[in-house]
Amino acid sequence: MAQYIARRLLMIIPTLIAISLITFVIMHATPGSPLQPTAPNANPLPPAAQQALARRFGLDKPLWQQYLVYLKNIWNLDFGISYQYRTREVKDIIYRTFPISLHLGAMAMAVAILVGIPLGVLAAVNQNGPIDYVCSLFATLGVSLPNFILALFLIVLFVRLVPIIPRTGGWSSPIDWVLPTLALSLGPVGILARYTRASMVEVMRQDFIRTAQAKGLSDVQVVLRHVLKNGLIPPITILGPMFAAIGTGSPFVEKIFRVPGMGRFFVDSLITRDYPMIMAVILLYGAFLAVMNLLVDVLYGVVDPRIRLS
Amino acid sequence: MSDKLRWWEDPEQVSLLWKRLQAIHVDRRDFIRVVAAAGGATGAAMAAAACRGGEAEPTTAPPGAVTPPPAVTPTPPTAVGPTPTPGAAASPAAEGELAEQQVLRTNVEEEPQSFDFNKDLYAGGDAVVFAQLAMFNTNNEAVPDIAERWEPNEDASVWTFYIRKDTFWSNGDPVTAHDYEWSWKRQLNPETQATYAGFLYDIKNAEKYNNADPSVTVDDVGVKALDDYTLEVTLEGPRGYFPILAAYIAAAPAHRPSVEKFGDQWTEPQNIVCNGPFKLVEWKHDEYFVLEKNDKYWNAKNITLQRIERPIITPDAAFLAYENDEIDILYRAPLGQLERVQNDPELSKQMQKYNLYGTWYLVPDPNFEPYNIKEVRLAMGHAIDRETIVRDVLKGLGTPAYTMNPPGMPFYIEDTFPEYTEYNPDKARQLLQGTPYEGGRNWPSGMTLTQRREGDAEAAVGSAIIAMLKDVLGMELEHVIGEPRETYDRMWAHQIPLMWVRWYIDYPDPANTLFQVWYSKQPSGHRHSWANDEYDQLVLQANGETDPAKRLELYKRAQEIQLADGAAIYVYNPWNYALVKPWVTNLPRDKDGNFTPAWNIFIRDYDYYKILKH
Repeated sequence: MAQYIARRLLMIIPTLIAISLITFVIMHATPGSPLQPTAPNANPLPPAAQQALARRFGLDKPLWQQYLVYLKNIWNLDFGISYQYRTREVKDIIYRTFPISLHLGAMAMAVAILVGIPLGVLAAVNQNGPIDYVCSLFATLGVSLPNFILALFLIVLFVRLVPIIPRTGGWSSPIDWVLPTLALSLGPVGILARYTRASMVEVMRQDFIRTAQAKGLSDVQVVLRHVLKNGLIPPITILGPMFAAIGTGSPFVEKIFRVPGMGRFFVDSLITRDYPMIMAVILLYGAFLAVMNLLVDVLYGVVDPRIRLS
Repeated sequence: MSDKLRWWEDPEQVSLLWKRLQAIHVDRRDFIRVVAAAGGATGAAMAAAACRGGEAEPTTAPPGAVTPPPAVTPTPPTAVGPTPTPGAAASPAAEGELAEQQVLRTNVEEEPQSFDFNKDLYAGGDAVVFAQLAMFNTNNEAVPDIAERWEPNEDASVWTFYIRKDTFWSNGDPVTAHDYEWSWKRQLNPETQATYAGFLYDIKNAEKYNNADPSVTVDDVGVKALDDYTLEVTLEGPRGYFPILAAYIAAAPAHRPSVEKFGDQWTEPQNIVCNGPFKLVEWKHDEYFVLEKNDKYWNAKNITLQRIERPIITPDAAFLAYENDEIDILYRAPLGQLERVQNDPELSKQMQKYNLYGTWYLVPDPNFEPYNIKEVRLAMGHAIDRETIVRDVLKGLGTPAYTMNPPGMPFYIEDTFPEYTEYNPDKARQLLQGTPYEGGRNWPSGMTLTQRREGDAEAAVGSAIIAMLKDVLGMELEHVIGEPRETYDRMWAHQIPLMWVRWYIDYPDPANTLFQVWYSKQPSGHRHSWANDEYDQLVLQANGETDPAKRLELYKRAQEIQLADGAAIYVYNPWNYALVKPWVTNLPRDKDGNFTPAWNIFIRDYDYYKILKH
């Protein structure tokens, strides 16, 4: 087991190198380099300052050298200086913003699991009954409603109409956590509920369930002990990538609720051609995703004894 | 033109100033306003001509429209009054009791990159933390600030600024001439990589130094502190407008000891030292920043606000935050909420509309099919229902336009010329009879309506126009919303068949609209391709006419000729609105009483506001 995990962890390194190479190539192939005076919205620097800037950021070297230097630097956890915020190091920005996004993402994930999975179970047990339809409606809404619309809707509802929450945004007290968590979790709630329901329904048709029922086990015991354990494999599979996605922040939810997380950099760094920031957020996301996938694989073994990791 | 101090009459100086301001992306409109503030109509006409990129031919200045330049002395002999003229609107007695805590809360739309305005004037922080040698009042005139006075030499190529002795940095250091000398040189140093250093190229050898020309050293740059309180600036030549440059935030100083100690980190709140009326005391990245009054600023005793809190709120969420009393001023209120604001008994009272003094209009270029047929152009004029557009699309934030000059401007033409502008679908269809497009058929394929990317309102009106033209005339137009600069370049090259475009007034005279936009023999280029000799003659004549009644008559005739030929279809005059809580009083207003929020040229509106008990 430990050997398996170690091997998988080592495999992440070539994966990240591949990701960084692809990102690097695409990024530099996109027009509008921070150092093209003729490109639209480019800076109006005179050539001398342009060269000084290029020297400072190492952009005067050939591309392959730039890439190797970058690889060498990130080995020492030096992600460079942000082009957009030239007074700040990318590392510092990530250190400040990532824990906040992770915190918010973890809360949203908890809500998604605590609400989504029971919802799916309820729907499966009451298949085609009224509860099933209510769950379906809820799940469909969760998937189809964009979270920034939902965010504004939540503000109108809970800040303006029924003033439970005192203000529209911020991140200075736990009361500020409520609405962004809700806004961020509704989509995952819907997805998890649908996955859980579908897989539960399938498991309930299996012979061993009929056997369990024939043995005289109560419905609750059948569902909890037999159906749920087998039905959880598909939801667990998506939990990993889902957490990687919401744990790195949502640009819209964070902007609207003034959450100082890293979500906005997924959009802003691309618009401003902030190369070091683009690389950092993509690598971070890639690493996060890889670790989550590994975690999911390990969890399989816990849930399903047939799966043996070696 | 011998008097170089009357720089607004010197085409060379005006076009140089334009070049400087362009380097820092100042809006053409702001530029013309500034020149107009100094030189009246002559200056404004010069400025407008300079913007065209060509030589400012003295003849393009409408000779008759010249109001004698006001006796603006660019060298105020003594300091102006201690208060930056809070304007006529200030009547504290009638306003009620002031709050104990003078706190203003207003959002900023994005996380600032820094507060280092000396390095990048678009750094995004709040420019109020630094004070320049001069500043702008609400009428866009440059008045003394850190310099209590200044004087030029005979040909305005050397300027001497006398710095106040009673103003200090927020840490107690005196503000001296050395600060400005060092700061401007810092901006010009190519190693600083200051984005808008081109703004200072009027200073002798600045351009060479900024471009690392080996023939100059930093000591050759023409800015020199003669002593602690006297700054001598030697320029490349006569520049009567130099105090205007010295008033811009691009000429802001930086605090040398802080920069040398902290490098790029010097504008972080724990490091920064400010010389403006406010200082940065707190900045929680990606959340908010807080300013407090700098008691060491010379005019602090006349500034009422003590503290300014600026949460970072994206425009999408700012309106809700305003409604929830989290901010006191929302500078750019959303058009989508306008109807609600107007119908709300409370919000409607907090609305501060401001006239943008402009006209949105449609230009069918007669060099393209199908607009080469006059009847098509005229039919389009009758197919657009302006009242509906203003009422339903703009929700009343605007007025219907039938002619070029917007209402509220002198020589506004009251006549709407219904013969050409009345909404009348039957008449529109009749006009098509006998053309190849009779019955709304056979339109060429691939017709477009082109505009540059701007706000939602303008695009929405564009779509409404397309719908109306399809409805009445059967035209199938595709809405093209182009990249701003590229679209305007194509417009000036007369490559756009049907343009949906705006004109904002630069100075209050029809020479700015009917003459400058439509006179077809402009030496510096012609905005639209339509040309008519009789029209040209009338507007030229109007420029020289001194009798206002006759002048109005000339413009009216010219306007009618233009409408009768379907050269343009005027649609609406735009307005905008801010929301200001009732407890914020003493709003800065210009001489016409209009609210003047801080825009590109950085009028310091915080100097004015007072907060009432609430």
